[in-house]
Amino acid sequence: METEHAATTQATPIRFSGNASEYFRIWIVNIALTLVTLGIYSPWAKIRKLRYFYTNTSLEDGHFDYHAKPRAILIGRLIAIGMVGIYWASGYMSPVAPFIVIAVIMLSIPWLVVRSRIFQLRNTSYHGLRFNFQPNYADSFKAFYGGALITVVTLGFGAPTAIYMRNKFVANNAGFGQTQFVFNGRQGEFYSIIWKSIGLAILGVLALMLILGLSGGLIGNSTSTNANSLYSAASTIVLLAFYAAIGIYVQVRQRNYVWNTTELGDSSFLSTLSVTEMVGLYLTNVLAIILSLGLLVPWAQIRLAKYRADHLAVCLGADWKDHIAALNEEGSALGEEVGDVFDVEIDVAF
Amino acid sequence: MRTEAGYYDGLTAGSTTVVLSLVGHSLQFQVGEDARSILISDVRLISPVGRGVWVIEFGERASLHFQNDDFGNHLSSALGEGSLVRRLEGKWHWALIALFVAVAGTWLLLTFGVPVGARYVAFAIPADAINSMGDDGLGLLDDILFDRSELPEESKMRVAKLFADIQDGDERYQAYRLEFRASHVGANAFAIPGGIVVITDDMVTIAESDDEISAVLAHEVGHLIGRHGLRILLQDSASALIIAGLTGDLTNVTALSATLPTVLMQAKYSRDFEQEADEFAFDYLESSGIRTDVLQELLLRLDDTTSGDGDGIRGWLSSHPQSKDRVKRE
Repeated sequence: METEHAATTQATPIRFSGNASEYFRIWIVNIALTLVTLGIYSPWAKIRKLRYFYTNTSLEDGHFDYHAKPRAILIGRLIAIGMVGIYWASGYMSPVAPFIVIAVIMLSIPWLVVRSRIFQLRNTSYHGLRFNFQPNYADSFKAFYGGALITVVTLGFGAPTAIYMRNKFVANNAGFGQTQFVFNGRQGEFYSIIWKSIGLAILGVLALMLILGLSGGLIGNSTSTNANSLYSAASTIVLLAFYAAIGIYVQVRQRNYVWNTTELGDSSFLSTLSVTEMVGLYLTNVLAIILSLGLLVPWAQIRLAKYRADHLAVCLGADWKDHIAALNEEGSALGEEVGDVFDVEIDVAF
Repeated sequence: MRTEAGYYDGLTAGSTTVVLSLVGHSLQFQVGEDARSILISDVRLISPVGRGVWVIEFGERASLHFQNDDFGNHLSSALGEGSLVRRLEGKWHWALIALFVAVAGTWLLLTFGVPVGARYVAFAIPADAINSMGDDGLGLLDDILFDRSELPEESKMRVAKLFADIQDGDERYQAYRLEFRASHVGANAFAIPGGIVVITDDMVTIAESDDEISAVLAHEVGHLIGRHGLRILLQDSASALIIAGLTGDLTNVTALSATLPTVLMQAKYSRDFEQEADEFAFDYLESSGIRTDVLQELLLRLDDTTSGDGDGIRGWLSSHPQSKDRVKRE
C-alpha cells in the first residue's frame, strides 16, 4: 500500500534537449527561406520550429511531436491576412466600418479560441497519442461573454473571475486521447494574484517616482539637453521593464496555479516556475537580443524553453499508458492563425 | 539493415520496443507473436528537425519511432526522398549563407521593397478619393490641436498670395487649399492628406521674410503632391508587420526588443519624406529666383527657439533630418 502511494506521487521531470547552436541553423534557414519566398514558406517554417521544440521535449521514454499540415496553416494565414485587408480597406469606405469589422472579430473570439485550441491540441502528440480539445462552443461563449459581462458590471473588480472562467474552460475541454484534463482551481487564487500584482505595480511606481524625483533634482541642475533626454529615455526603459516584470509575475503565478490544480486521469502536475528567475531570464534575453542585433534570438528561445521544461514535472498515474485515442478530425488552422495575426489575448496560463 | 524502434499503435499511450528491419521494399518487425511486414510505398517517413527522432507513420494512426540516422537516411533514399531543407540546416556554411540572405533580404525589403510598394499603392488610389479625406482629417485636428487663427486679414492675404503662386506651377496643385490656425504646438506647418496645407500663426510671425514662408508652403505642397501622408501610413504598417513577422515567434515580453528596429525604421521613412519635400521646396525656390538657403535659415532659427541640438541618439530617432543638414544639395 505504502509503496504504491510512493510510486504514484513520484514526480517525473519534463526534459528539454534542444541546443542553441543547432536551433540557430534551423532558425536562420527558416528566416532566409521565408524572405526568399516572400512569406509563402512561413507555415513550413512554423512547423519546423515547433517540431524542433516539441520533439526535443520528452517525458519518461516518450517525446512530444507536432503534426500540423503546412497547407492548413497557409490557408489559415491567407484568411487572416484577408481579414486584415478587409479591416484596412473598410476605413476608406466609411469611418464606422472598421469598428464593425472589429466588433465582428470580437464576437467570434469564443469560436476562434475553440478552433485554435482544437488545431493546436489535435496536432500535438505525446508517446504517439494525440491530445484533444472538445468543440464546446456554448461553454466557450459562456466563459468569454459571461466573464466580460462580470468584468463590466463590477467595473473591473470582477476581472479575476473572468480570468478564472477562461482558464477553467480551456483546461477542462482539453484532453489526452479520450481522457479529459480536470481543473480544480478556485477563483480566490486569481483574485489574490491580480490584487497582489496591482499592489506591486502601485508600490513600484511610487518607489520609481521617489527615485526619479530625487535623481531628477540632481540632473535638473545640469544644462546639457543631451543628458536630459538620455535621462528621460532611461526612466522610460525602467518603467517599461517594470511593467513587463508585473506581467511576468501574473503569468508565472497563474501558470503555476493552473498546472498544479489540474489533473489528467490519475496523473497530476507540478509547476515550480519562479517569478524572480523568469524576470531575470527575460531581462537577460532582451539585452542579449538587442546587443547581438537579433542573432541571439534562438539562444534566448532555447533557454526559455529549457527553463520552462525544467520547472514542470508530471506525477504519472500508474495506468497512464492506458489512455485511449479519441477518434476525430484534425481541425482547421483558421482559428489559430487568425488569433496569431490579430494577437487575440486568450489569456490562459495553460 | 536494422534498428531498434518504438512501436506506437496510436490508439493507446503504450509502446513496444521492436527490432525494425528493411528487407527489399518492405519494413519488418515483430510485436509479440505478431510478425508485421509493410511495403515502404505505404508509409510516410518524417525526418527529424535537428538531431532527433525519425517517425514512420502508417495505417490509420500507428507509428514507429527510431533515432538511428543511418537507418533513416537509408530508408529515405530507398523512398527516393531527401529533405533539402534538412540539408541546409545541417551545415554551418549553409547557415552563414542563410544569415547573409536574411540580412540582405530584410534590408532590401525594408529600404526598397516597402517604399516602392507603398508608392505604387498610394498612387493607384484616384486623387478624388484622397481629396475627400482632407476635411475629416482637418476636423479631427481642429478638435485636438488647433484654435481659430488670430492673424490680421492682410497677413492672411499676403500668405494666401504666396500659396497661389506655388499653385500656379502645376494644375494638380489647384485642388489644394491653405488654412490658417493658431496652435499651442508653436511655429509649424502641416500637410493633411487630402490636399490641405495648415500654417500656424506662430510660423507666419516668426518668418522674417515672405521667401521663408514660400519655402515652408512649398515644402508642405511637396508632401501633398508626393502623397507622403498615405505612403508613410502604408510603410509604417508594412514594416511593422514584416519586423513582427521575422521576430514574431518571440513571446510577448521579449517582443519589446522588436519595437526598437521598428521605431528606427519608421523614423528613417519619415526623414526620407522630409528630404523629398525639402527637395521639392528647393526646386520651387530655385525656379522662382528665391535664395534656396531661406528654408534652412528658418529651420535653424526655429531650433534655437525650441530645444538644443539633436546630435547623437536623438538624431537616429528623429522624424526630421537635422536642420543644419537640410537642403544641402549641390
